[in-house]
Amino acid sequence: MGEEPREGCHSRGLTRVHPVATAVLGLPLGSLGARRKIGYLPELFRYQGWLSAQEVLRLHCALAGIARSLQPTAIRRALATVGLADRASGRVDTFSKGMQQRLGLAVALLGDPQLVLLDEPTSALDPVGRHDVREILRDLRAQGVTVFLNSHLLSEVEQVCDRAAIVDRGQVVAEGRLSDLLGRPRVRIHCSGLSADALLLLGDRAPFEREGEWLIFNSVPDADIPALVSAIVAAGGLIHAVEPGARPLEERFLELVGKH
Amino acid sequence: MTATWVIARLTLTELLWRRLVHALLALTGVVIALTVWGFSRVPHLHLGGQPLTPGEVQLAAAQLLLLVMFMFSFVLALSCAFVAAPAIASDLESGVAQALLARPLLRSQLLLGRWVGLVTATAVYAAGSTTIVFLLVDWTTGYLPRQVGAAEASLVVEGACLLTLALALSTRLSTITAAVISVIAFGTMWLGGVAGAFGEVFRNQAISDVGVVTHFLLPTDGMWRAAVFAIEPLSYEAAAAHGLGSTFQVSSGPTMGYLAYVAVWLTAVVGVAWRCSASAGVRSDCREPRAARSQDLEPGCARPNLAGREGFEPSDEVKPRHPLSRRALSATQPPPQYGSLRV
Repeated sequence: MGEEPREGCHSRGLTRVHPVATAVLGLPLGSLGARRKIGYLPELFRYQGWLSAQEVLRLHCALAGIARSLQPTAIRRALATVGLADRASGRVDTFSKGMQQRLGLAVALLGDPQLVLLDEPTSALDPVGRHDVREILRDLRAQGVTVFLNSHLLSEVEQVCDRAAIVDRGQVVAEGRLSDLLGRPRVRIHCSGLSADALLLLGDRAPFEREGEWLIFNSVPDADIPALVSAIVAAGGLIHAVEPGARPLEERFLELVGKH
Repeated sequence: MTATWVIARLTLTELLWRRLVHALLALTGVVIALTVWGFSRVPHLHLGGQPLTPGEVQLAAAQLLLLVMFMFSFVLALSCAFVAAPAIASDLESGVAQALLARPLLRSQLLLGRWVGLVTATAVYAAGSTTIVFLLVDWTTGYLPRQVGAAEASLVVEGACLLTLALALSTRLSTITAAVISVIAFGTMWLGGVAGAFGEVFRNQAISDVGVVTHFLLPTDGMWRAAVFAIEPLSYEAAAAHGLGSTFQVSSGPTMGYLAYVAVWLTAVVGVAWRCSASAGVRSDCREPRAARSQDLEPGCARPNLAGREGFEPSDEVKPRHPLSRRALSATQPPPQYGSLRV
């Protein structure tokens, strides 16, 4: 696992992944020392329903070995970060799933961890909550914290991650910077008025796929887009929209795991 | 060690929130009130038109107290089983354990913390309620067990034995299964003890051996008998010595050897629970072979691969169980080439 800020991992069935790293943050995997530097939000978890949010955080402060004098500040900061400052004394069993998820995130952020592992952190959140979590992740990245995100929501991975790994049946099938992972740049062009012959000629110039009136060119560098548009116009096509950009991660994912 | 105390404190606070414990405390209060009312009537009883002599009052009070204590020991055993069984199992089932174990907390510390908290609660409850009963019985009838401290300690140890068993079972079984097995074990041991006493009365070696064996398997009945010996009047001891022993009459107290055995039994069962807790809740396909474990790591969590290092030769027994484990993978295929995936 790298030392530089790095985000993002998507896995299929994380529980079947077997460790390939022997150390984390320079300490043996699973050791108490390593766990002191790691914040972790499990996918399925529950806090003691009879405790208040503040008491849950106090318990985790005590377990994390945070000095008693530093605990109130750490707790206030964690609650403020996840937007639970006004529910500090509310009991956990009165919290919605989304609020419990926020509390889980607050627990993971206690004690300024150097590495934060988040397993499906937005699974129970509404759009506002998801937006908030993305903001928290970006803040953490800005602070130089490594965030390891495991998610099935690929659009989210695309929005926040620098690097991603795709895991299929316990094996990493692709890993790298998101831009490298997504591969060839592509452009989607909405056009009408092209004859069948014109389409054939266009296909010889740059291969494409059709989705109704959309033509999807999968290997056109950004620099070649103006020339491509001119060619379509010259062939009598009417351009309605041009959308350059990478392919969605989901498409790449399906391709990599052999379902496409 | 600090983490163990944090968990012990959490366990105690948690108990104060449990309805089971609220009900137990409320019912104990009601039973104590009714018991004391009953005992306060004893000195006013008449036998053949005559009021009871002080000696008869004492004997009646002693008999009643043994019955009340028998019921208390049963309630204590049930409560210990049902309070201790969820301690680990329910944490694993609900996901509380997953959240706690992400912290620098060893599974063994979680287990030990739970045990310390539960034993403390049992000691406070058992010693507290028996002290109240003994004092009130003394106040109403003038009968005080001859060894109050020994009686209370025996009952606390009886409860501790059963809760330790329930806790050990709960590292592997579900809450209800662990509780039910513990209660059945308690009942069986009591029956074994009764059978043993019959064996002694009828001088049948085989049957009396049943009693001895049960006292060693699970020391709950052994400790109950130690409590009876501390509570009963001297006349009972004499009667029991003449072969009239029963579950309410014991001729001798526990030997030092037996008490030492009980201490060893408790340590051993906590030790077994410790071993079981190392992999409790870990998916079987994620467990690593024992030989790869090292001192500062917890069994059951990810381990560094020691193969290839000096002095470590994996033997046949430590073959990875899962075909996807690292050693199996590295033996059959090359590591993924990340660079080649850039298209």
